[in-house]
Amino acid sequence: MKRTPGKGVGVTVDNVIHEYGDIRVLDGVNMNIAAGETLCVLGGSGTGKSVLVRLMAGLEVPTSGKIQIGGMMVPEYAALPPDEKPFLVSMVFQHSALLGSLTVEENVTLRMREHGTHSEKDMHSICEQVLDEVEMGGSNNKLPGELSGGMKKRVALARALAVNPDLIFYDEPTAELDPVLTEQIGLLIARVRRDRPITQVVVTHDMVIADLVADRVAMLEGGRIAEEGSYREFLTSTDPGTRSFLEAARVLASRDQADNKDETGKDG
Amino acid sequence: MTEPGTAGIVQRCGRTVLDTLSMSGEVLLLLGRSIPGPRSLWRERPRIVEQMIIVGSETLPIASLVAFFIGMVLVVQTADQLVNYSQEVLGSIVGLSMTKELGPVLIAFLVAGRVGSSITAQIGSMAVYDEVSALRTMDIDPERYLVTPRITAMALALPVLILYADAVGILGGCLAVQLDPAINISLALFWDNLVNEIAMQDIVVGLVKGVVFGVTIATVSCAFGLRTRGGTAGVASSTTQSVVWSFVLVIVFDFIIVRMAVLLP
Repeated sequence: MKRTPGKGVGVTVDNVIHEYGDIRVLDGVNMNIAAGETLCVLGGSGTGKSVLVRLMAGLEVPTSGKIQIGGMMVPEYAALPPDEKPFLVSMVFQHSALLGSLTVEENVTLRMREHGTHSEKDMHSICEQVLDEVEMGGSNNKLPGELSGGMKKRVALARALAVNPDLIFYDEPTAELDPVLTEQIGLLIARVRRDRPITQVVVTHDMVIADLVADRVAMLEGGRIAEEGSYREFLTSTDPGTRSFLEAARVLASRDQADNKDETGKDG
Repeated sequence: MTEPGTAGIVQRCGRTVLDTLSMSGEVLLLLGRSIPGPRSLWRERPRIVEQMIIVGSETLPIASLVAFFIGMVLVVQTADQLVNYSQEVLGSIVGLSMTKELGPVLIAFLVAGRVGSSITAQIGSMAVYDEVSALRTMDIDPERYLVTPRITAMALALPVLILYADAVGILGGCLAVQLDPAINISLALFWDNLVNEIAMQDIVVGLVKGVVFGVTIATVSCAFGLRTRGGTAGVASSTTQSVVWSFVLVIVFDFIIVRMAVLLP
């Protein structure tokens, strides 16, 4: 095995343009993500955040431009046989993307099982460990259909962590979750950042997540990175697009808070 | 007014032809990439067996019912046509119709409608909800994981189902001969004529059709599933298209195989 597990790898996005027919979704995106860094890509709906992360994960090929992970071009990395990959990349999807016919344990160990890299005993032990890490211990034999949205996200994160990856891409990891679950998932990602020296790219429109997990944020707007910096710098940005995004996010956040207070009042 | 209308029709026809060619290419490429080698077959055997069980359990009950009644209808209808001639040939007509044509095509249509559509819907949902992408990010080839077991299972299961449908259809025919007062030959005569006239070659042609139809239905169903986009509406549209394509291709390949079989010595 050539690979030293879970070290973290850098990502470089160089002038990436991506078009669907006549529609240009990304218009010259440039980014550098350092090894071990957690970057949040923020932006409104339809700004191409998910497309960007899919391009980085090698699920789509950019119309032009280059994306490198750990110094390797993405197609070059994708073409390597699984046992020759010098580093591993995992991804957590918006809809969790757990295979419905497999149990939680089978989902979590799927990659190891398919590549025959671990014994049954090792896979079971890894599964137990990562399920505990995402606070889903004891759910090994459940089917995804028996889990709530938040639980599915946790299992998806456990599946991503099971192979001890160097890089994790998250595509809207808190989509369709309520504020409480959003915070819980955010805390889990933050814990991964604290406990594992890996690189994480989190695509989201959720400011709570950005606040909890980001070493750095990048604002995607009009197909380009409009701004990059720390979360605090981002909050004081003077860029009109970023300001309007922040205003909208604050309005939504305060409305959510008010709703939560109402709910608590009713319960009490 | 006529000019844009004509142009519109030409444009639509052109688009349909291009889409058909593009889809045919996709299906052929998928088939080429998914044909398993011996090692792959061995490795995928649990999933192949699982898929064979699905094909069998989804098709057997309805296949039994339909084949049984087709056999009976065939006897009654043919006997009516032969009312002024000898009904002694009834056995060979029913036997050859079932083994060479009705059994294979009937089973292919049933499998396309029940199993093929569910394959497209299942893989289509997996594509829409990023499960196929998740496999890719785990370095698991979706074609090996999803398509190869289904193609192999269908190629193995359809000939068996066809043999079963032939047997049940002939059984239905026997029952009609026995019970229908309009039929004036004995069951023994019907059976002797049937057994004497059906050659091994006729059964083999039916089985070859089964393999070809199985591979066709599985490949088409998987191809439409994998190219599904656009949520549940996309899944519904892909499923309908895959069933239509499967029906059409089954008939086309049926003709080709029959034509080739006629050339055999």
